[in-house]
Amino acid sequence: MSLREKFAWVALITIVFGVCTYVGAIVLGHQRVIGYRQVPWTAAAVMIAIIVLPLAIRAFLALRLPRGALTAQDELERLFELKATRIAFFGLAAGLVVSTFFIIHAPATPLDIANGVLAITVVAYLIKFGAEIRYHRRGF
Amino acid sequence: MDGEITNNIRRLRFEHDEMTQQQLADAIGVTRQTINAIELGKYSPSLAVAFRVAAVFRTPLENVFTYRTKSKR
Repeated sequence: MSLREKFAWVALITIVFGVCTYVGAIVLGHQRVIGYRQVPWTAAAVMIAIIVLPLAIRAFLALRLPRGALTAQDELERLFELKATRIAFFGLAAGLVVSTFFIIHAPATPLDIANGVLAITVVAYLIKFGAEIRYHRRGF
Repeated sequence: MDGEITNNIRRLRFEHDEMTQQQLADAIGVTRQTINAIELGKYSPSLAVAFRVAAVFRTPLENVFTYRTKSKR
């Protein structure tokens, strides 16, 4: 497994972990297990974890595999990333169309809209990293 | 016009002291996975990489890569 594929796995797993934590906090907030005031703090903690955790893991992997880390991203890896980003764009566009439909036809609070935007972004990133991993696995 | 690019990288590696994919990858500055994809014909490299591969084996480019046109029926 190449270093870039490992990086994509790290990003994918971190996002899934972050989303699960965030959704879990909202569900617990609904069930009044935790107070609603704790939800934004949980969201902030998750955001920091999504940024800091992958950086720490990537640094750890780069130290363990210095040859891969010192090699610049080659043309095939760049192509994988571009193709994956292109696929994710369609996910993002589809998500925007769906969310626009719901904003117009269903009563949505600003918090719902914010969560919708967050969900679309997360799904687009999941598609991107998922597609990247798939390209790495298949070899092209 | 449809065609396909084939290569002799695997044969050339073995003729050069059984060079590994990793050694070739290091010599031209790409990953081993990229060399594997090129060898298997899954990916056609850029001209720059193709020339670098030929330079490593000290052979003309046409000895490494061949373009074959598919005949239409």
